[in-house]
Amino acid sequence: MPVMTLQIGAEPEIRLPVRPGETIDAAFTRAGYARRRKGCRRGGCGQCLITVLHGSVTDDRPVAVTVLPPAQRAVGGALACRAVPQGDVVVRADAGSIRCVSPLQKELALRELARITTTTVQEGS
Amino acid sequence: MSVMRLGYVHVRVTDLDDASRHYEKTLGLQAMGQQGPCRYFKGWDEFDHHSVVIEEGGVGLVKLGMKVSSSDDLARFEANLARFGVTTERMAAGESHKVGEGLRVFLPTGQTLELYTDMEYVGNELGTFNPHAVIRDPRGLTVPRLDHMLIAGEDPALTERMFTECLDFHVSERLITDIESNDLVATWLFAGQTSHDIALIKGEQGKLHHFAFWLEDWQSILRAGDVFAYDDTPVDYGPTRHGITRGTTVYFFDPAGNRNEVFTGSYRCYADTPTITWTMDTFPRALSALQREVNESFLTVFT
Ligand code: FES
Ligand SMILES: [Fe+2]
Repeated sequence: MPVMTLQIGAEPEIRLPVRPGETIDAAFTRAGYARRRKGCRRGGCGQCLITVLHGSVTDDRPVAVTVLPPAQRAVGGALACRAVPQGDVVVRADAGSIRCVSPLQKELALRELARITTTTVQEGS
Repeated sequence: MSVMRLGYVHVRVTDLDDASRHYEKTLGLQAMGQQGPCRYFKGWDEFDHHSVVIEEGGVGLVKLGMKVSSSDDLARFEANLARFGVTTERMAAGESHKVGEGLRVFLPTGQTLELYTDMEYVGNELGTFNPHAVIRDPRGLTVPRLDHMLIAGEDPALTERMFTECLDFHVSERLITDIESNDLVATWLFAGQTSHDIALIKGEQGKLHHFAFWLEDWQSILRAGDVFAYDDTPVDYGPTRHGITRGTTVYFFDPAGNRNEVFTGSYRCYADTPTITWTMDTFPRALSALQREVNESFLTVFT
């Protein structure tokens, strides 16, 4: 299961598990995080723009070039509501654009992360 | 009455099949076929060939159409618009699929409006001879018809004047910055007897805010929310009631991110109905009379 490292502004980074097929948006929403601007969640408005610093993502559905121009994509621009991590990723979001609204969900996601990390270590040993 | 209604909205979508599923299965429109990159849809209580056109590729508004009573009105509008200084061009029958000849108007806010007098008659799903009252089998929201739309542009006041001075529209409600400067933020215009056929808001040129479908009552608005949960349709906000127009509403997005609305209630308008004015300091209540807060997306998401 891929791990997403999320950097929100200058906050300490958080590591969250991403289930197969989940978009970045779906993964942090499941972990109790919410975007300040909900936007369309369908790739049409660009409100969920984030930067992928490491790793790669693919869009689950086609995205209009007017919303995410190739030049923006080339520097790591991605729409959180459409981008599905292909393996581990490091993602950066603007300060205050995403925040934790449901601590228990975050706790559960972190437990899930701990489980998969342990499994990976055991597999590797 | 010379502009009769908002006849059609033509939008771009990133995926025709995804969008068709939304407009046909979730909203319950009737699929009316495909022509080139476009698919056509109508509500069960609409008589003309289509009211929604989706076109493959991108997102946002291609154009909108309004149906006009007669070619005399069309000629009069053409002269009015020329005098006003708005660019128009004649369109031949068939240039827009199933639409007769008409006049293409390039709105000061950047959108393309097609005025036409004829669209191929198909009939609604009940017929006009001893009809039943409702369709037998509901599908999705079972929306009967397109109702209105909201578009954005840099100078809504100029486009408002164009609609009232050239096309015989009336203004039901206006949102201004404040009494002193009286700058127009948004305006709701009607040609029929509903509170608005079209509304304009200050924003980026040529943009679409939403287009709305009519529903019968508040219960149907609530049910719309339930259907959205089944279909994983992203909801912008609602169900709630607007202060402006007093309508009850849910806003949601199609699979390309174009905003839709289902709307009901509101009030009846006549040519002599006085215009309601709102100032921006009351905007939270004007937008949603119940929550009295502005959600983050409403004024920031356009396609
Ligand atoms: S939320 Fe609109 S593009 Fe992602
Ligand atoms: Fe509306």
